Amino acid sequence: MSLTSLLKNNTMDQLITTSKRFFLVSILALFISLPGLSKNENLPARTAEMLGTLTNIDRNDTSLPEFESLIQEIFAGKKVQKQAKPLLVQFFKSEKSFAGKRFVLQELEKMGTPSAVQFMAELLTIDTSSELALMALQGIPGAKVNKILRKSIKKADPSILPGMINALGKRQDYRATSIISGYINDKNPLLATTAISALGKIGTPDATALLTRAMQSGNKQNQFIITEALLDRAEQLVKQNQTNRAFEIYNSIRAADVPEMIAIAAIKGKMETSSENPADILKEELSTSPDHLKPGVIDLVKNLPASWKSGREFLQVPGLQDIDKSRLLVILAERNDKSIFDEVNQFIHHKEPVYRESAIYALTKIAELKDIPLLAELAATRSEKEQEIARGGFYRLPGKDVDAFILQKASGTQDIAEKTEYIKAIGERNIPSAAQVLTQTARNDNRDIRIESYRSLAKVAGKENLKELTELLLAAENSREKQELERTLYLVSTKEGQENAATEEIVAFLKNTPEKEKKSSLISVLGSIKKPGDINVLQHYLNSEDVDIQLSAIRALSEWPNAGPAENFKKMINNTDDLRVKTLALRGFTQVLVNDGSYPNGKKVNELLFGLENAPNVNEKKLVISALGKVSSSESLKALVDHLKNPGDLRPELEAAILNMVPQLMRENKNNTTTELKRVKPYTSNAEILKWLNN
Amino acid sequence: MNRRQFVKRSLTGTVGTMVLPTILPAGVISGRNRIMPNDRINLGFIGVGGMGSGHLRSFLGYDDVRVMAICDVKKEQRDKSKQTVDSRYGNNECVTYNDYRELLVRKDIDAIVMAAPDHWHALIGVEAARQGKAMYHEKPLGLTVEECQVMRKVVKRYNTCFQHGTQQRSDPQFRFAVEMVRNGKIGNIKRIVAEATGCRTVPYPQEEPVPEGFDYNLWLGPAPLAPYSELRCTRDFMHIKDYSLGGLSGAWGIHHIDIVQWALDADNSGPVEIEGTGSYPLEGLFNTYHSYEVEYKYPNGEKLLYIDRDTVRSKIPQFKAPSSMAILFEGTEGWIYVARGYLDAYPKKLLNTVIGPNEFKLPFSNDHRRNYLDAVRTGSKPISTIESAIKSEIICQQAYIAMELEQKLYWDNENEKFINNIAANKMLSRPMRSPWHL
Repeated sequence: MSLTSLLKNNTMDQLITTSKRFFLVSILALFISLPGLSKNENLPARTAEMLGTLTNIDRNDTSLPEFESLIQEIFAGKKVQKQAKPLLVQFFKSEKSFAGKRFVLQELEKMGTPSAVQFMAELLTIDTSSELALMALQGIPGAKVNKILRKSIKKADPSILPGMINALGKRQDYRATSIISGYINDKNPLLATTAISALGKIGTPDATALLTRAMQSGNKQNQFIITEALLDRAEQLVKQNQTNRAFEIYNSIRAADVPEMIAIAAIKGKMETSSENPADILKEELSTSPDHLKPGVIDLVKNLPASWKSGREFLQVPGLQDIDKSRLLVILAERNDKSIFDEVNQFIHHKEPVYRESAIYALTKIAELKDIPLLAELAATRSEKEQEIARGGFYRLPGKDVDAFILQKASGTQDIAEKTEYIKAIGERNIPSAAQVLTQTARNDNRDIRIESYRSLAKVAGKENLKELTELLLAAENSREKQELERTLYLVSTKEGQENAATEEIVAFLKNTPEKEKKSSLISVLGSIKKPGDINVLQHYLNSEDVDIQLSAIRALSEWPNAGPAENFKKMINNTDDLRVKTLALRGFTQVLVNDGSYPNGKKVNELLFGLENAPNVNEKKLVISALGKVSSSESLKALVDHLKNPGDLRPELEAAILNMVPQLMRENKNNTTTELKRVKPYTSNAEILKWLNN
Repeated sequence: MNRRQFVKRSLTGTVGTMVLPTILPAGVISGRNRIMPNDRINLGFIGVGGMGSGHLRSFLGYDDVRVMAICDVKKEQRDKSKQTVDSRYGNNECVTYNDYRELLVRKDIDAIVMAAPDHWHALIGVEAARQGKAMYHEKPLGLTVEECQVMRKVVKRYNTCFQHGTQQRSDPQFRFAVEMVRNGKIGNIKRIVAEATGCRTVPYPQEEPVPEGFDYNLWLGPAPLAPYSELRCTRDFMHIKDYSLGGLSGAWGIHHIDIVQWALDADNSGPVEIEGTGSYPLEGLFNTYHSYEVEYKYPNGEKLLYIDRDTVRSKIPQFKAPSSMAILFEGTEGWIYVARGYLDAYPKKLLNTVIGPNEFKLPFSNDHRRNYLDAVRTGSKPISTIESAIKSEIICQQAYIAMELEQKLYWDNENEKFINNIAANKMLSRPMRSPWHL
């Protein structure tokens, strides 16, 4: 049975099994019948063994140095070792491993010897390997491969003909011009277009002339690819500094009836190669081009020299629609072309929101000191999107004179919305020495202005302003402003980092203020700052006789990053009769233990068990169990398992806590964890826990 | 179908799809549209696997776009995406395609979002530019330096609106880190360390029958023929060298390399010396680099260390961001460490820095997709340009080539070639399977 008939009659799966057998038998038969066997007994045997192995490899990048050497031996000379060649041909004719074939071909590609190249050329005619052979051949540089490709083109496997034509084009083999030109009118459009494209890459005068004639002949079917090949050629000429010749090509393309994108590319090419001012070319195109070309022509403004700043001339071209002008405004503004200011100003008031947005964006790109009031007005009065765009410009407009102007306006402007925008801008621009202005505006009668001032102070104030900021906090009249000011105090205090936080002023005020609401507020700020040295100050207030202050101190210490406050919390849990105090202290106690990564696990679990025993109700017990679940340790698991024997209302929480830590414990110590889990088996039906046990 | 028939089919394309690779007759060439104020931007999606379907869901959230068409070589995937689109709009109008060229010739589509596998990026990108489409082009720009160069050529030739999918340029934390570096807030740069993912080992799968509704030939496209297995054609394609450089580039690395380039103001430049070692799984299907350490030197002497996650986390203490790769900028006066959702610095007070308008400020974008849509509609310049895309990808390619050749390499930034190294320069391109070509 021949391989061809096998291919015709078998499905893929059958083919693999049957052809493997067939291939091995064929190799063996060839090996036995080889005429050169007596001359070089070793080579055919080694080749057969190699190909047998290569048939079964999965990857072409497998490291097989002994086979690399063998391939080098076979292809070292001018001619391939004849004892090995039939075996190799048989191998490449087979349906066997792509990887094995690629392995051989990549070695041949690396060698690039005449015998290797010749053999690869022969493979171009074998349809089971031609694609791979062509890919490998393309990796070998030099005229010899060009010649092989030219010679092989007629007899190669037809399926790779487009690839061969393309390879010759890409290699810029000028000797292939006549061969390739034979395909440019081929009835197979794939061959025709590949050939046209290849001629463009070759780029010789002959090839260019052929393409130019093809373009002028009105070949509508392939007009795009013909003109694109000419663009390739023109771009090559530009690289070679032959701009006049390139211009001729661009000009001829522009004069022809070509597809839209080609026309755009040709205009761009003309702009780059003409002795004329490119802006004049563009203006002419904008005036005379058909409507469908205009969006593309407008975008070409981006390609004008950066020094050209007379964009207003484009806006005055008759016949432009507003959509065109709007696009031009954005493009010109991004070039920082200030000549368009009047048109931008008009479009800022356009009835279409999209045009207004574009115009405001354009304004932000060309704005100067004089335009700040306009930006502020837009930021204060327009729709949300327009405000956002205006603010972007307002905040990013450079210049110390701009800073000074904004500061002056922030103090002096009476309009509330605009004043608020100026104050916002101070913060966003991080204007130095603006704190003085802001501490004044922070006392304004209008609440919006005050709140915006606090926010900007958070950005620009320094520790020298902390006293004033604390006074503002103590004077705040409502909870919203208190909240804002607490945040501002926190941010300003921690500008040098948490360890070095500047809290002296806050502590001083805390000691001296008699009012408990103000004390509570300052305690809250110190709690959020978490400066290590302030723990004693806060712990002092745990013992306050005023329960509200006591509760504030508990809250402030509850998020402490270590177990420092734990002992005091524990005392409170033991000693208090006030349920609120006990509950909050227990929560804080639990949380700081969990937060402390360096606290020994065994001790941590014991403390949490104390918490569990002393929890005032089921809900608090649930919180402690959840905390135990976060302490992934054998001690914690043991404690949870013990409790599961008599879980009461806490079964779901206990099981969830166990499951929370089991994955990590299993990774760390599977045996101990499994042993511990086994103890719980009689007391739970939780499927997830049982699954861990069964695994 | 047997392998021989399979090979044959590559000449003619698949049944029911168009015949021509990369080139179409003039009659079906599209062009650029005016998008009027009340028009939505008509979008087409090419590639709606893991990445593409994520984009699809996000873009559907913008009121000023209309998703018109979906293209994917997996019928199941494109049908599912069509369902998502149709249910968003309450109609049945989204059209599906197997072949991207059919989508691209639609005149009514203004812009595309391309998230096909890496070995397709350049071919699809080039065709989109030729058809006058704006494109959100997923990273990497191409599978080789040569593919990237062709992409740049056509994007410039046709003046294409192009946004590269390096969305960290629209992330405030990365922008902050870059502005800090550019403004000298950590002093002079001593070293930059960029972290990326590695690869994993999976057994080489048995060949499987190609499932109904999957155009495997078109999925392979320009890549060498290979036996089909499901795993090869999932998102894990990115761990196979024939289709991707893996963690070094499209599978993550290029994101951070792009930020490094931004920080060094090197969008038109790049390193000139490259040296590195790495290893990849020697068995199984995946064969992209798993562990690697590559050192680069820029023309001004700045050093970049490009390193895989496992290695860097065992060596450099700052690398502790929980769920993201990271970049460490080390300067003479401090350091900044940035990852997605994670920012650290030394001294800590650097984190409170506000960069004002009188210092160096980068272009502003907090939404990469919005930035793209604004560019399509208004003509503004997108934030991730074609220049940044190619120069970043070149760095990924340099790492790959240096490790493959186990050589120190020298790069000529102007001519985009290695200096005096034929073997390395050969690796700047890969042949495409006939008839595909650029």
